[in-house]
Amino acid sequence: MGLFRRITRRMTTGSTECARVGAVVQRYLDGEYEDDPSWIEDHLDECEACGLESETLQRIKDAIARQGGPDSITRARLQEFAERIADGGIGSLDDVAR
Amino acid sequence: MSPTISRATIRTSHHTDPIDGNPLGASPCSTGVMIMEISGTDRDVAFRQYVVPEIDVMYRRAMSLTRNRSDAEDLVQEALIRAYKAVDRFDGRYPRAWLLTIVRNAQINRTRRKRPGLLDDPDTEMDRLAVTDLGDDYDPEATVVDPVFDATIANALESLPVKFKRPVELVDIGALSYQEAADELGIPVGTVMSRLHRARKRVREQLEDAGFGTREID
Repeated sequence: MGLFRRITRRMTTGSTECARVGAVVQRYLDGEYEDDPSWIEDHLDECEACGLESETLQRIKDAIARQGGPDSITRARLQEFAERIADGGIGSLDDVAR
Repeated sequence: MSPTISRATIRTSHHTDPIDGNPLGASPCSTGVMIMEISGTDRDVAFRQYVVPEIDVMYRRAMSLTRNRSDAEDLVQEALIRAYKAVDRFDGRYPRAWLLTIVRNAQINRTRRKRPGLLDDPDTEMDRLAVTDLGDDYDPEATVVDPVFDATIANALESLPVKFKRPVELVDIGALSYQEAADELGIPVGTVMSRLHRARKRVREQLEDAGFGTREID
């Protein structure tokens, strides 16, 4: 963010625009806002409070997403499994049934 | 890479999945009665190009659907096989969406096999489910990860009532849309949104209790 943005960011805090953005920011961050989001993005750049709010929500979302990822061992096992498929190493799919 | 013919055994069926072409209600891991020959090199290249890079995302979707690490891994393996068999018909557009749909359809088939004919009330089912083992994994793809922050998030997620936790798992971990999450849970989209909001607010409160400075969600 540029210096001008940083300076002007504080100036819009508490405006009615904050309320408008606050009403849709969850949908925006979840990729569910279907209209042109440029007005939201402009406000998040300009308003310190809403910008921090958005960044916090996004950080929480990112951390939650990491909770469901594979650990390194599982990831390696799945990669190896995929390689076996691509290499034709799984002659019958019964081989992989547990 | 093998240019030779691979063989895959699948159960015969009159009905096929429109996404991956696999028989509905059957598993490619099931005991098969039909041998399907699939060609090598091009399929292998496409598989490595479109599918292998998305394994982490497929696993996260599988975790959000199965809520169990072992089942999630099994589900991803099944989805990988389905994807391999279907990749020659894939047009190369939106591979992630295509693969996530394959994971979802594979899970539907697994559920059908386990409990044919049962229709559970979603809320009752959620209340019945055990607590998910989400663990505290480290994601090497993340450039900056605060392990304390992530551990706090994990604890906060664990402490949520199931009816609030499931929408978060489906949307944030599984990358489902609101509509897909609503369909999965059997609740309206508006309820998904309100539960997401309340769940995230509770997570945030626990972050604040743990000393992470955040503002209140209105």
